[in-house]
Amino acid sequence: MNAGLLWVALPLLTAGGLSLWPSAPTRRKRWVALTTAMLLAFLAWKMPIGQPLPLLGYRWTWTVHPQWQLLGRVFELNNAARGWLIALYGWAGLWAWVSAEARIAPDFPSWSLALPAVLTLALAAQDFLYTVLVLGLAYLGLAFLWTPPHHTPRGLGVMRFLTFAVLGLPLLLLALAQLPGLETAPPQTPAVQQVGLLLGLGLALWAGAFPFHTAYPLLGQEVHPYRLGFGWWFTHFALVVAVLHWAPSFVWLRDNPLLQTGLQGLGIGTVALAGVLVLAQRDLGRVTGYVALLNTGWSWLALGQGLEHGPVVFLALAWPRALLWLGWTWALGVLGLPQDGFTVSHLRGRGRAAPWTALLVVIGLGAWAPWPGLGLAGLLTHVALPTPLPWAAWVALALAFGSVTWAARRWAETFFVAPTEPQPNLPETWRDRVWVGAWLVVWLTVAFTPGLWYAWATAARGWIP
Amino acid sequence: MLTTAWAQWAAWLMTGLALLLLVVHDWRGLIAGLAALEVALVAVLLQAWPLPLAATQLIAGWLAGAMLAIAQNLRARQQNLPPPLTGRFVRLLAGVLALALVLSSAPALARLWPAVPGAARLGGAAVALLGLIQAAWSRHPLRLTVGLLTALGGFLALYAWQQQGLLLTGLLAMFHVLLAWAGSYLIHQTLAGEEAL
Repeated sequence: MNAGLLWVALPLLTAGGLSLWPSAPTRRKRWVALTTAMLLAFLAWKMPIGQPLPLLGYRWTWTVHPQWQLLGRVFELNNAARGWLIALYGWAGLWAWVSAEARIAPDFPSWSLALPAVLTLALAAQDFLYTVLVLGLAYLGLAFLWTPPHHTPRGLGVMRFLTFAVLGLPLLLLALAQLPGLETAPPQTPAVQQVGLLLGLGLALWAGAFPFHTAYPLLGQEVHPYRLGFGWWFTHFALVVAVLHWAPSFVWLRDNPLLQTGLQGLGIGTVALAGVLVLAQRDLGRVTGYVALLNTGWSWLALGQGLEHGPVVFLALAWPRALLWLGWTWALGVLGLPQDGFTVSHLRGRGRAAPWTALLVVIGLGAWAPWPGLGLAGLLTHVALPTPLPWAAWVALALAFGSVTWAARRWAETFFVAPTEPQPNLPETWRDRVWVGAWLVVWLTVAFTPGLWYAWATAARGWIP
Repeated sequence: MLTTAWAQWAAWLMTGLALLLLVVHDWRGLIAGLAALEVALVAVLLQAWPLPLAATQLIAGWLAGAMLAIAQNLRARQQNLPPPLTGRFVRLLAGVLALALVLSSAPALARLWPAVPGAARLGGAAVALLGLIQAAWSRHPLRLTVGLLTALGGFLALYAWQQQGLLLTGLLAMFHVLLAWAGSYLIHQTLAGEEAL
């Protein structure tokens, strides 16, 4: 058996089977998705790839071969890939599990397997050209995830996202076509600068970096936050891991100090911009879009630490951030019930009927702020920043901190103020309260034990040459 | 294999069709124009790719058109009034300006992609730019998807000389079809919402 059958074909087939099971509710389907995803994460954790695994006291052995071929092209998942395989399928299992509690339509559990499977195929490609093509297909697939059956697109978010995704692909492919022979070229070479421009534009379109971030607030307005958080986080993670795996083979990318400074500047600018814009929003859906931008900024800032340290910081940040996305978007989904309304008028006084969930939304939003010295999402970045930042950067981070914290305070006020008119508020159930409590315990444990995640991140760093 | 002269004519035809798509309002015209553009594109691609690979693109392009036609046919009765003549004139003007821009940057394009024959290079860049204008100008899923498919067609006319391969062609064809599927799905979802109101 090869690794492709196990980590790509099996989840894709299961996802296909789940989507052909139309009458089953989310609550039933999620168990199939959870079991499959957790089994795949467990196998990635415990089973060495390419070595025989003894079964029944060495009477039989089972070997998962790392390589396979698809129409003449080689794909490979070796032992270095096991770190991110655990993460992708572990998160997929959690997202599938919680989907029923978020009252998501029954198509979601199949997505929770299909998306990680396609991203795994993309990351397994030995030629970056095919990584880009498969990632492009995954980006197009998000249009279906974000517009579930019986959901009318209310704006232009999905269409704008599709436009950016489609335009990014040709730019990246044209850049990659010009790359052969430029591996060791100096950064000042015109061909390198031309390729760098095309690559930068293509990746910025796909990553939703400024100024192409505008799709996300629009998406936040029209897509359920749980679906948006899932799709955004998985594709963002896979794109960064794919670029990190490929970029070091080019000297002009690897040893370019300008790239490091540029990424840091871009990261701080993005965090500051998104932080300030979060404060101006009157719709929690749009806030989700800007939080995605804020997170993109965190990633740039982490990667701006250089190729040696940056990937470890990014990977170590990944677990607390994934859990924060999961819990926060779940709470948003519950708070938006029964009409998936996320504007101030919908949510005024909603915290009185659902106090625990409202509290989680406020804590979650506040946690995206750059909290210095606290065990929330920003901690690892601050702990890990080895190079001193200029004072302007600290001003920008302070601005983002103030804005996001103030936004969280203002939303808390909205949730707990007496509603001016009767609202169709659904009270939260005891299950919701258990979920809030359990999530807070798990997430705070993860966020306060960076050592644990640094060990995983250091192991997962092996994928990056 | 088509002769170079035929391929040159196909490249210019492709550009003309992309310009026409910018001003056509009726959905049948859009789909027919897209199908014709795909034929012209394949004639250009045949200079760089073997017939089976180029034919894959034709099948993907026509399949994309068929999917969009089926989805749009469902909502054909809900067509809005055509845009005023001035709107079409402004689109045409923007298209002509884009063509002038491409023609004026011909030397730069030649430096950028020296391996691509002249007509295919200019035609590809013009079609990509016209498709981009179409996509940027659209708020409707059909026009947006046709614009993006046109832009992708222009890109392919340039890219075919840079790379080729079985999996590459297959994935690019899948990208074409998935884009059309997403577009027709959005058309259908919009219709479902309008009917529910």
